[in-house]
Amino acid sequence: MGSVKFESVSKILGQSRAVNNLTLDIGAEELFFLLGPSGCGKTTTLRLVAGFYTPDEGRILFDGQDQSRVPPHKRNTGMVFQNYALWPHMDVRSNVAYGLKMRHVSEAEKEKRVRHALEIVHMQAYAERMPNQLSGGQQQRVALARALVIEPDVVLLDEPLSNLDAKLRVEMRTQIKDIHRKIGRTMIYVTHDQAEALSMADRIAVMRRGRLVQTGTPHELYTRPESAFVAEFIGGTNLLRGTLEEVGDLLTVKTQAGIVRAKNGVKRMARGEPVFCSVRPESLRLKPAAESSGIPPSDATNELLAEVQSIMYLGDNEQYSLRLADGAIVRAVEYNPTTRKAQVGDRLALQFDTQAVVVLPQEELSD
Amino acid sequence: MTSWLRRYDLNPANAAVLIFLWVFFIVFMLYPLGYVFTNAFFTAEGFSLVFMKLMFTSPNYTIILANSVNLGLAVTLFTTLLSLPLALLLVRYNFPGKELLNGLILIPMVLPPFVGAIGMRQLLARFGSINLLLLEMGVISQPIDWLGGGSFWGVVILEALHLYPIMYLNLAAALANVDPSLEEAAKNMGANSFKLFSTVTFPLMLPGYFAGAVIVFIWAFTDLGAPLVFEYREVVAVQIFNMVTDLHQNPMGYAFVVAVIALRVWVVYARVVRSATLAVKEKDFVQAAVAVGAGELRVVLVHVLPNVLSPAIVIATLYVGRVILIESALSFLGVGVPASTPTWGGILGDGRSYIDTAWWIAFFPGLAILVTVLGVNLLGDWVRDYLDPRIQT
Repeated sequence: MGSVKFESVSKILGQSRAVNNLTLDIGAEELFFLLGPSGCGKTTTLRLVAGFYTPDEGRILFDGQDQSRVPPHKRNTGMVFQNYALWPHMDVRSNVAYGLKMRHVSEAEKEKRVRHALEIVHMQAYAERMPNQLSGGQQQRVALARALVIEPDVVLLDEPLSNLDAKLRVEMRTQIKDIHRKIGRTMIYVTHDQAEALSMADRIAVMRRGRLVQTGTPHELYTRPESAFVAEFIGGTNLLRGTLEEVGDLLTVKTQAGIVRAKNGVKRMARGEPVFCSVRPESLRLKPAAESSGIPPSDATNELLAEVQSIMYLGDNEQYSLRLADGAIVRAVEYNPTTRKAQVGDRLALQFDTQAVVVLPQEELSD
Repeated sequence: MTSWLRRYDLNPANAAVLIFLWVFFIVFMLYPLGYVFTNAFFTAEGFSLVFMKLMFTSPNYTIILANSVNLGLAVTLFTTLLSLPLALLLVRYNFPGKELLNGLILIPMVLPPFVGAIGMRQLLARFGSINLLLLEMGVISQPIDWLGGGSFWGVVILEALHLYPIMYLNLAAALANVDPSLEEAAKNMGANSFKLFSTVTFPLMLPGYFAGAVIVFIWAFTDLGAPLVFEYREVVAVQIFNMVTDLHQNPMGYAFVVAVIALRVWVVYARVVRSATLAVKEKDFVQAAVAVGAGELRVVLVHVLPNVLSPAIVIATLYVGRVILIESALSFLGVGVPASTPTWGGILGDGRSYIDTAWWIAFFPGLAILVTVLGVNLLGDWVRDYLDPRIQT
């Protein structure tokens, strides 16, 4: 119950393809994320599921049933809008009961289900309030209750936390994940916040310029990005520009700052191809240059020389900005910084495992 | 004098404007209204409610009152039925010719109401075009009385055709202000088009609808032109008018006419100035003035009034057009200013008899009225743009 399938779906809005040839399988009861920068087509995709848009090409199927031409009110989806969209002329109870009223559910049943839905979101004490008497977080939870009470095949969430303050946002992540576990329904969640996606998702689809870039679990996307865009967008990374020298068990890349060897990379790359080496800031180990022999300590390790540009102390971690021999800037993070490893202007040896490097084709990154 | 100015943060220029405004209001609104009220509530023996009592108890007057209320309600209903589909069509859908239709819809606002009345009479009278055509074609043998005996429905239809743009503008603005996501949420919850409209869209439009309905109701209630054209005499406005013309030497008649015009203008005025005041009242600088101990009167006069002046002035310029229309309607009907004074409405009325042989006699004064009213409206638009601080760069 509740699987959603996109078959080569395109949606043209104005002059551009807001969604371009999207093929996607969302499993039943999955907490599925659509992630991407603004204007990437993720909200359009969500609205296609809700039925506010009909696809110009391709089909959308719920549990194998073609829904492409079904109007929104006949699809059993429950949507949570970015601005909550609570009806200001109805109290909380009427807002939540609305979908049941449209479905002609009996009074007793309606009463029971509204109470249950409000309990799930911890809003049972506010049933008589009007929406304008609620805080943003409370409105958000009422909107969630309204979407859940109709027992939809798919719950759609359009940047539901983006209007909340930072602390509440983090709190709500856990709550929504709990609710997903409790009700066991498919949820499609749109966000541009990669931390939200990483911390909550069963699976994530990363979108860019209307196209699907990569789909996978948070772990897969973070450790095995298939493009520089995904590596950069999810978690942030250092991209070292170079040329692919050798292909095999280990990939060897020649960069201006030195040779980098990598365990991982996108398949089907040819020798001589311009590439990026993606190295996460937390994979870089900082050693004093004096202790370095100039040769990597083992075959499984890379080493590059760098000079400290600036240091930012954030309590639980310390962020280093370092300049490589070719002038490129890389970031490194030291967690639990009890003692300072270096001062600004120090020369350091950056060590990182070949396992931590992913070689990716070069592409334009600005979006 | 100068210390007084300084005490209220005024320079001579805006002090002059304030004084002018007060004089204007006192002379043209408070004095006539005061006149009307003293005549309505005072007899030779002093204060008395005898006229008021008479109005609500004497069967002659209660029928008239009821007729006017019914007329107002019927017109409000008709304008609603006419404007709601129009507003939905024009706000929600895109189609070729939309801009043109949008402009055409508003034309009745710049036409004197009696123009429509004459046209309708030509069409629907006992020996009007439709009956003559049907008789000619042999469809009917006796002319049909389309307007019904009392002409009540004729007045209603005419008023509705004249006033629906006001309703339309209010409904269209209200509809355009409805947050689309609120409607999407309802669709998402399973509401079909009808349920969507009745449970979400229309309730959200209600404030705008009531605003339009109140104006239309009062307008229809106080309108004189249309009932006179249709010779439907049993309404309040015509009764006032009759009493006024019966008593030529009684200056009170003029006060009544002013009162009727003032009542109409006031509705719009009050609405605009009220909303402007509500907006200004919440501004920080007003709150700051209150916080440092400014008195209520001072806040109203010095901080609020200057900031609501510009919409008031705009309305005033727009209403010059309205008043020209009302005056021309009265002159056309042979009332209002004395016949010896030439007015466009008067010439238009005189030319009506010669429309078949000398169309220009009626045509050009009509055109002149149209151009003047349009011109004044454009001036009003320009003044609004000029005074709007958001547009100034």
